[in-house]
Amino acid sequence: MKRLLDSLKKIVGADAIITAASELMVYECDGFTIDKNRPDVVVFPTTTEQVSKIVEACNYFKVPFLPRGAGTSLAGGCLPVGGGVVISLARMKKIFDVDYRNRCALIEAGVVNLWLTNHLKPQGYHFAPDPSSQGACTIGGNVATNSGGPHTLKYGVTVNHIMGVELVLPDGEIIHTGGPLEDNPGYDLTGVIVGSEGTFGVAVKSWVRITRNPDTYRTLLGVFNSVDDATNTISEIIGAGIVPAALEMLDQMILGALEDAFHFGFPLDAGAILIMEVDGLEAGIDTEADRITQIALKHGAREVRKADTDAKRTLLWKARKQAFGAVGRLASSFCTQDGVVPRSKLPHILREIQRIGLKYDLKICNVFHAGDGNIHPILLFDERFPDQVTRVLAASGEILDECIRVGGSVTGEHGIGVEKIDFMSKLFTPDDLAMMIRLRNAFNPTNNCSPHKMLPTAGACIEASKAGRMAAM
Amino acid sequence: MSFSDSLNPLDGFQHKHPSDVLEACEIIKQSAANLDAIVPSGSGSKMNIGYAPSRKGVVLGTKNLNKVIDYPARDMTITVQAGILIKDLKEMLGKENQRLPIDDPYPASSSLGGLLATNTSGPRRFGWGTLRDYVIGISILNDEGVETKAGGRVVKNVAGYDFCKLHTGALGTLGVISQVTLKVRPKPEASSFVLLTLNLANVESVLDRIHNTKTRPVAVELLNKTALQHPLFKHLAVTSDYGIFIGFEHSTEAVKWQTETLANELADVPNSKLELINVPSDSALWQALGEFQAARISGCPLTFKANIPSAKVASWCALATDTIPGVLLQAHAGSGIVFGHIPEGVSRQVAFNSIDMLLQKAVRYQGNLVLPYCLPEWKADFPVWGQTRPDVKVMRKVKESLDPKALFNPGRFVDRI
Repeated sequence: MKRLLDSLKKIVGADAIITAASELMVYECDGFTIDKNRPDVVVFPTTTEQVSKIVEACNYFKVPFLPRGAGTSLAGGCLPVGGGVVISLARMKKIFDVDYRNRCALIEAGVVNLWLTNHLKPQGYHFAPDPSSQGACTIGGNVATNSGGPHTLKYGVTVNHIMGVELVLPDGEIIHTGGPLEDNPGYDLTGVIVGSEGTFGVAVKSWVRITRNPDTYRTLLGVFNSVDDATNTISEIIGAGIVPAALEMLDQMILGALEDAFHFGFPLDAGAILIMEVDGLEAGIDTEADRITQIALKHGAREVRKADTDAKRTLLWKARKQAFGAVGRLASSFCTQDGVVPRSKLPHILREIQRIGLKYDLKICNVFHAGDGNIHPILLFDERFPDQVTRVLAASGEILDECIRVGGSVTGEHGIGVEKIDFMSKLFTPDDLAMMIRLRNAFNPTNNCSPHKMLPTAGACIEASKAGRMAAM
Repeated sequence: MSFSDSLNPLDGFQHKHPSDVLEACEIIKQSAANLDAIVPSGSGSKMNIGYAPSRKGVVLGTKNLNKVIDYPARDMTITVQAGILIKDLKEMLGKENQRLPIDDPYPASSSLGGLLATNTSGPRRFGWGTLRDYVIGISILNDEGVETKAGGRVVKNVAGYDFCKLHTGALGTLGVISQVTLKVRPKPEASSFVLLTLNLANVESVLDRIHNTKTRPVAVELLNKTALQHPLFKHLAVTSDYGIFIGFEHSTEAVKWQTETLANELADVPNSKLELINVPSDSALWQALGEFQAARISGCPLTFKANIPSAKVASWCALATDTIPGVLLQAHAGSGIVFGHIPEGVSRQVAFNSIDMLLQKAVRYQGNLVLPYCLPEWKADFPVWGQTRPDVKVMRKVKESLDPKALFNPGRFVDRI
């Protein structure tokens, strides 16, 4: 390890390396805190060439490495299983070139999602994927996990907005896939690199598509007595062929926490509320908003409020996007799941979540991307009590099993990471997984880059993950 | 008429049309054992694309794998077998007032699998995206004759690698697409075009203005004079250098506002003529604009497709028009995609030099130029897949890993993968 450290110092300088145990603690996990493992070293390159040399050094000394952005992953994507080198891209934060006429930009991986949108704002553009963590998460992290967000219902997820990447392959070679133009001949390597959770190499730069801002919004708040009424409304809005910009549901428990934190004026006696947003041109938007209002009222909404000023809309979205932060007011620990169901199955899965909560004697609140069928049940517990942790894990598993049973998936935007690795063999057959391993081997034959992620290939992965989990309990 | 007029490269192949996936898998296993090439084929409408296969074997036709597996219309997804014809898919979706907003030049004869393998798109790509934005689940018959899947049936899903993207546009070189799940969209209530006919001198500035318009077009199509004289457009009687079709699809109210607003924005273009064309989204004009890029023009030896920056479309088209006498051009101008048909009578040498020059120009813009159609006897010398990019090394590794015996379409794709 000392010889590796010497090499790394030569590449990036001593001030771009962390080795002290106290400082490494920050990097022992990401937003998924149940599993933890400290890396041996964290290194902060500022150029692609440095990343390439770091990767070569790691390979030479046979030390595993993995890239990290802001560490907001909720599935353990940044967890350094087995230790090794964390390559932090936090210092690679340049926005090189924004070409408004051709609607693309070249940026480094460490650029924070919201910085990019703020940078584009004066020209009337934005970067469409808007994960709730957008104030902290990086574009590199978005690329790794194929992040979503509330407005992906209309605008698509990260992969729909990434046109190319500069990738340091796991052997240190630098390649460019895609680029600023569409339809390059050959395989869509960019499309498959996005969402590969760092297992295909280190994506250091991206060509991103930029999107014109809508002229106007209509943001509605549907207030319902029951979760059932709200989910039936969602189902009918989608079924009626309306594509809102966002369609988000919050249940009663989360509303209380949000109201304490943001004083928005949420009706605390409501069973659930829906944030329903349409955007686009001024022409026709009121007709669309009226249709949504009528559907909500038909399904028992007791009122549909309008967030009719920019300030109100901004506060509403701030409250929604920081909902996970407000959960701290409800319990000392929580575990968020990321299942997906066909949208018509939302009423069913929400009833199941309620049933499972009762079965395991757990409080579960819900705040999620309803329009996509992407649920985020938040299971509340106190990690000082091992029995509660056991029940949370069992309940989580039962919820995700039910998502699979009704034709859905176990992750819509957070990724598999280490957290959901056991579910891969429930979603996919051994033959499906074998093809994924073959694809990974094309990029990462030694599996030295982001080992033990996404695919349940080695017993070590699951064992290491579970050992960490037990330790955290 | 479609590209299927040139099937010579498949002479000597056995043609098999399995009745189900199991039978298709058996054919693959048998071919793998014999190291025979496997050429996946839907309706056969796009078989001219790419080089001829480098060895003989079996054409595996998927026309009988055409069942609808599941269509939960309220979820706005559909799962079908890949051999389904686009026209049948359209009809099925249309009953629920839904659609897949991807243009196919020949919906009556082409299959979904073929559309996907060739990543076909058309005018609507500017507003609605391309196939990679709609495929959410895929099943592939792999090199071992096993059906494997990736993705799923829900609109948001990040579990596992996204093979949907990898197989879209891979020309069937990584396996046979057997089943696809698509995200679909509601049909728009209304549609219209603004047609502006104008002189070359104003094309660039008008495209810049359209880029900044208050409206939100879903298609911006630029056609040159010779293209506008093709039978598909002749009835429009355009005599100017160029015509720009700006298409809208939205609610009736929004389409009306956009048509009027854009007409006002473009009213002062010198020496131009504006026409407002109110037609539904399934009208002949939309179909013609989708079809022209793949139209087989009598005696045409070659069709090219370039990807260049949207801002360079006007100057690049002017260069192509000057270089190739009588070239028929259509640009999906908002997306920077230009198609050109070389007319009959252009010599092989002139065509070669012109294509080389246009290719180099596209490459300088970080783009490329490929030949979706080319006389088989010209393919040996012409840059069928444009200039090879450095990332082809990784593409080769992907191919070798997923199809180590090079069974699927050997030699047909980029760099003769």
